[in-house]
Amino acid sequence: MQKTTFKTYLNASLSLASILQKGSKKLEATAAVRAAGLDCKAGEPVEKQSKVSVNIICDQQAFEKQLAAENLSDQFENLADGLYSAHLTLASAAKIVKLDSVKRIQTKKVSALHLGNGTTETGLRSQPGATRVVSETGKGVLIGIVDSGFDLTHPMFRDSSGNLRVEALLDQTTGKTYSANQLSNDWSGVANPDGPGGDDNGHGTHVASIAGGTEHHGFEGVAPEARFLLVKTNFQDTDEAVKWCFTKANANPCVVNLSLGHHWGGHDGSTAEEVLYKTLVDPGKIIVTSAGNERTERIHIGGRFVPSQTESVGFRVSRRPPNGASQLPDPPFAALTLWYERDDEFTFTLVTPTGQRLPIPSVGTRGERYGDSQVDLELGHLYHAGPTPGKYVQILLSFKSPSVRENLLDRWTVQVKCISAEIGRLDGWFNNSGFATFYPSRLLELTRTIGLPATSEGCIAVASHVSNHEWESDDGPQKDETVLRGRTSPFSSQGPTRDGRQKPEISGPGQYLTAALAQGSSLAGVDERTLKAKQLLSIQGTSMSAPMVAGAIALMLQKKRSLTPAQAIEAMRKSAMTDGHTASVWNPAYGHGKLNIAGAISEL
Amino acid sequence: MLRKKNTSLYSQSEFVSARLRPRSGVSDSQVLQWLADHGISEVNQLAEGFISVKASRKDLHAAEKFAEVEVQPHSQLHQNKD
Repeated sequence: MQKTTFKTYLNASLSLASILQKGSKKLEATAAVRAAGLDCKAGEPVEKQSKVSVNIICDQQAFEKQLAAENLSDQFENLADGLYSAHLTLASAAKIVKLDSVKRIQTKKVSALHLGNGTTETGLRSQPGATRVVSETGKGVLIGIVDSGFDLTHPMFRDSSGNLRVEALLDQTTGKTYSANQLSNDWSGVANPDGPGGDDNGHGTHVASIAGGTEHHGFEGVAPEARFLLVKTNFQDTDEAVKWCFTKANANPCVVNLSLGHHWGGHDGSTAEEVLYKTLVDPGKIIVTSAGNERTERIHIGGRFVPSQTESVGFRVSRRPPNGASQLPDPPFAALTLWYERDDEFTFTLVTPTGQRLPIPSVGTRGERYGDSQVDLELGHLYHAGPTPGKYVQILLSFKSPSVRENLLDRWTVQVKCISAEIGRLDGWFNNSGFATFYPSRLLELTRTIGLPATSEGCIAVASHVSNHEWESDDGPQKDETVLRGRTSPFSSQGPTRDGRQKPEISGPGQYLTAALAQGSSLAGVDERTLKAKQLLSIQGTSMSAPMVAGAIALMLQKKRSLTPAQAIEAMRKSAMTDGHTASVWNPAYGHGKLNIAGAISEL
Repeated sequence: MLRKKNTSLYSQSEFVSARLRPRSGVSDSQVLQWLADHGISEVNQLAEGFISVKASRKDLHAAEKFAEVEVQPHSQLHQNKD
């Protein structure tokens, strides 16, 4: 049997052979050493008892005999005939290497995992594990994250010396704020979700680490030397959270990420929150928002009418509306708003599942109320003072019990008749995903599904495309066969806004991204998404693409501290990657194209 | 059979988070004074012309005389569920 040397088949920047050789020379666990598969904390010395994960290709019968003779305490797992997986100490590895029965031994390099972090697809690295192509790391920039909470014990929130990279934290659910010193001294090491701003969901920890996480098991956030301003939100006062971040940032450049939203408004930038964001942004103060995941959720209808045209569209109210983190009521509830231009005339009728016809009152009526033992309704018809002055109908359905009869949730219908039309455009949205869905209808639209506050002129709205469809998990390798790399994510909400503005501005990798897993969170219980031993999580959404852009803007702010939102958009537009999936001009799915981080920085 | 009702869908004593934008001719300070006079203490001026309050629906209804009032909707996270 020919014995091959390590150098023949170990092509990592640092091979097992060199680790074994250098292990006796007080080698430190640098990123390169750890990327080669050595399980050491950053900066720690490499010892004989340091562990490395390897695959061993061998003559199985002979190997088993020799292994028994060596009497090693390490765990070996027989994956197939002649193939073993092992997590070995370096001392054991040195012995295994010498066995005649071993044909080949390979370290399980971190870069070999199917972990997508979007950095290659955005031009930040030429290939996984390669050196970043830009010098900016976010140093001197603050990244605000408004989200479900944060597991501050995760290594991605700490620098290479183990110091927390959090400038301050606001917990809107308790009203408490924490300084950097309090977090570092008083609360250090408290297990999630019991620590300040704890993350019982797992979303916020993941989002923050995408934007600015410290390198961890081969994954690194876009701006790993930025510092964080963190807000565990109550999901309602998100505008106060953004204001808090900018106030805390003071004169320092700051980008705030909002990976959340709703559809309660005119989708024309006119709500107080949307207008406020336009007021708050400034040179060096930028807001990034996810576009939403509602493209195919059937929560939007829209179309152009001519006089006398009549359309009916049915809908079903969900038995279990979203609750928990969003603190929404448990009994079924839905709010439908329908928007049209000031000079147009429409009439509307709501038809109940029992066939009762309820005319929507004439414009100027705040709310007519109806009810019985099962449900309360409110029907309003009001003027709207937005950028395109108009009118809107509001239909609120509030059921009284989660156990309402099934036939009362289904087969509601809205009948629309156009009386006169100058523009003739009508748009309708349910308040958010998961509350109610329209039945198939010619009014059902995939465009204009972008949510609030992404529709704000003050926010940079981010769509999602597929950068990776395979990932490792505690349940073994996973693959999403339903998506194509490079294509827009099927869920990614599309523009434009109702008043015709070009949003989203840019598309970022959002499917699937591997980043920090919050221990003890609900997402930690999903084995096909987690690598618990490595504290990593692979999930999808515009929630994930937005912090890619927020991280990119942190790098841009490092280069140009006075960067304005308009300049950031222009740099991303000019440098955006276009291909066979995207158009070469703005389009509703990709915006101006795919995020090109290095290109955008070079445009400044 | 649904019948017309006079009662509101929501309890008027329910406290909600809302945003007030003073109507034309009304200053921020006038709105802030009115809120103080009515014992509404959870007030945060986010920017000129933007006032965040936590108040009862009844008080917010009264505030509509001099300010546009919007109850803040709940947001949802944008993680796509499988």
